[in-house]
Amino acid sequence: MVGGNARPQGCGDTPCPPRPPIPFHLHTCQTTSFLCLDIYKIFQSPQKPTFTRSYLPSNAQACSAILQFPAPPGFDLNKIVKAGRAGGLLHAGTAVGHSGTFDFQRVTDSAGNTTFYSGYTQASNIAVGAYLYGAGYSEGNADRVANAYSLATRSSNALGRNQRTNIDLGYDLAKAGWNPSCKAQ
Amino acid sequence: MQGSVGRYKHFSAFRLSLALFIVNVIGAVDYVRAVSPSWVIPQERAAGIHALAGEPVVWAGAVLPFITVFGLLDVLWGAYLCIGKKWRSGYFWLMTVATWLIAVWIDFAHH
Repeated sequence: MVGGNARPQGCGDTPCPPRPPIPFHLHTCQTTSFLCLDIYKIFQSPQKPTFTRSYLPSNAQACSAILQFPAPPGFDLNKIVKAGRAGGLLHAGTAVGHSGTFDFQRVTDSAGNTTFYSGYTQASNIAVGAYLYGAGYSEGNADRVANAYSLATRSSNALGRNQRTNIDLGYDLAKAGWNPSCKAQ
Repeated sequence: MQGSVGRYKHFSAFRLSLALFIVNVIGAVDYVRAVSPSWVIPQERAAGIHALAGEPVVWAGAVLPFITVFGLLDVLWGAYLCIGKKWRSGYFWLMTVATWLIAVWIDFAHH
């Protein structure tokens, strides 16, 4: 029974059913041997995500509301305020955290590759202000959050004047119900 | 009889303090896990990018429940130890303070 013509067990005379899909990290094996497929590939780690820095994507819009700033298509303060109202401070991570829905400056694809658009930092900060307004924070409390962070971390990455200005602008625009007007660049 | 009651009380305070210490250690580990999304991304730091947006909000949202729950718990625990003069169990309280200081230091070092 043991020899070159032995058929895999469990198939009988009928053709074997197709193999189940292989997880994505198993597809990178360069050889075709069965052993390679099932043993070597399992221990092969997935590719490391990349990090790219860019200024703006080609579809960026020019927005205007007191200040001029670039923003992605579909930038809508009302949507951000609604998300703030629904999520509050506890769910801020998925909204305005790293690569969150309204963290326009970081775009991460499904493979974990991140592109950082430095031109969208202003729009991201305006979104933070609008989110805080939606979450029900008074302007004083929004400032207290920023102050507590700056005081606690005392790092080179503490909140700068421009960032505060933009967060305040987002808060004030959301409070006034004023959505910036945007057009393609 | 009195000695056995005293021993029981001491043992009970010891067990309570040990349990609270373990709860605090778990809490400190969870705190570090909860605040980590607000840390600087290493690739951004390497690229010289200092762009903040939602980090303070995410950080505050993560920190506030811990300050509220564990702050209150540990103040009450400390008061219980002081009022009952349970100084031996106080070592657990001091170790808890040290644990939280380490957790906070880990957090601040990543901003």
